[in-house]
Amino acid sequence: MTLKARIHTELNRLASLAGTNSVPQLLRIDTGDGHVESELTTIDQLACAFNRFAYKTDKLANSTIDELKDVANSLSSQLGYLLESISPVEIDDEACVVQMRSNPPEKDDDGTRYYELVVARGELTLLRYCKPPGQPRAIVAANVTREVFERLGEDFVDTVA
Amino acid sequence: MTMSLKIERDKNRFRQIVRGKVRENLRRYINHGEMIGRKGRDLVSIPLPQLDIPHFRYGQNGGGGVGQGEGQEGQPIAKGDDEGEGTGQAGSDAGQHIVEVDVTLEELAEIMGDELELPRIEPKGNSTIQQEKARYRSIRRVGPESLRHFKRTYVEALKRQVIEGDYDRQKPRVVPIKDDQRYRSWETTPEPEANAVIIYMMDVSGSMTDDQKAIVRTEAFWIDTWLRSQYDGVECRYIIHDAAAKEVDEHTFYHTRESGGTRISSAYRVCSDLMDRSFSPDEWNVYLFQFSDGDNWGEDNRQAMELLNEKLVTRSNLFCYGQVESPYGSGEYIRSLEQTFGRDHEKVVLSEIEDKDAIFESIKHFLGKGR
Repeated sequence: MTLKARIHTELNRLASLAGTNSVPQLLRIDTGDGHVESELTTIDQLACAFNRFAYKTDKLANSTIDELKDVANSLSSQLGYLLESISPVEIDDEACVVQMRSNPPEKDDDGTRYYELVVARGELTLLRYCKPPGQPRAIVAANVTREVFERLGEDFVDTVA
Repeated sequence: MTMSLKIERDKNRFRQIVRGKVRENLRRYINHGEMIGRKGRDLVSIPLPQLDIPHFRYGQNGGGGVGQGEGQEGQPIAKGDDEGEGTGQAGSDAGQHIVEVDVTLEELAEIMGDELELPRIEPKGNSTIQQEKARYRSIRRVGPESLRHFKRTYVEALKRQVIEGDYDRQKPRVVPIKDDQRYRSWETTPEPEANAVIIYMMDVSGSMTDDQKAIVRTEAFWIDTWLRSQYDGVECRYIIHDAAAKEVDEHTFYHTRESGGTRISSAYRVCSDLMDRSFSPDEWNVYLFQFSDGDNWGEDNRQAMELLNEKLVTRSNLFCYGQVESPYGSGEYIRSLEQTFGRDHEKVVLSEIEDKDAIFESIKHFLGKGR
């Protein structure tokens, strides 16, 4: 079974439990050399919302900053389906971390929203932030279709592989 | 004599009007940084679009005159042209003539101090630094014409004429010759001075854009202007940082953009070293201004707080932190500072600068402590 199919099945399972379990629900899929995990706040038939989407893997545990930059650039070109261009904003050679963000961030009367994808040794983490006018910035749930959610998992794993 | 007094009076009146207009528009000038590109060594050229420059006004002179000729009232004096083909419309706003006036930086600082209700700064009491100052205290036989001492020259000429017997009391004419010329000259004397150093620190990591730097530049201009008006000698130093920090010149400070991560502690370390090396707090009034979007990388906060508390705040008159909002909003660093120092610390002043319109209040907040 492909990773995409396994995520699909797990989403169905969690959706069926949604009425009985407390939210957020944790999705976790082992990939052999790591695992995909996500904190889901909503799951319905077509879409879902998550607070955090991560891929933790040993393959990145000893990566150099150049290797992480390659991963970041590769993800940058693949994640167009999130409908916001995500590119590296800050690169910390010392800590070996590449911070990527929606560039430009999405802005409207309700404030500013953007994705932040951190490529670090051992893991990739995707979050969504919102900064309403006059209020502090906070992590918010990212709403995506199930198709996009499954594709994210697949792309994260394939890029590192 | 009367004429020169009148001109002087008019000039003073004009200056008062200018000051009033500058005061009226100060918030706009501050927020939009209009003066920065107009700064000379001692003067700032300020555009005052609303200033009515003096002009003649004609009276009625008894009402309408008497016309002559064959025409009747209301009759056109010549046939008008045919209608043209143009499609444009006349503008509806009145035309404006922008008058530029020069204001000294001292005057500008004074206006700003009044308008922002800034307290005068009490230097930290120690004026141990000796500064060489030039004072025009002596007279010499040679010098540039611009420094010629008129009175002394004529006294010398008079003395010479009296000695030579050329002076006639009935016809008191005194004509200086070359040897009579006297010129003002200066002496340099060491004088104690209360000195200040302003150390600016700015985050130039990837998330800080040019708009944020423009805000920092505007703030720095007004801070400089104010502090220079309060101290005899002000030195400015600049530190930039992303994950690493370094001391740079002013131009580099405002025009560098790096793509590295954000480690504020690196700037504090460089600042502390700089103070150790060149600006002992026993001799200098130290002002620290830091600007960042507050997106410090999580694990660095603890180290930054330690350095700030132990090495910087205790040794400075004032530490001001301006958190400039980036396109991604404002980071969490200011909250960490709040937790460590509180909102009412006597030396630590925190300000969130959402956009250009917040600069005015931010400067007021920074300089309102009078330290």
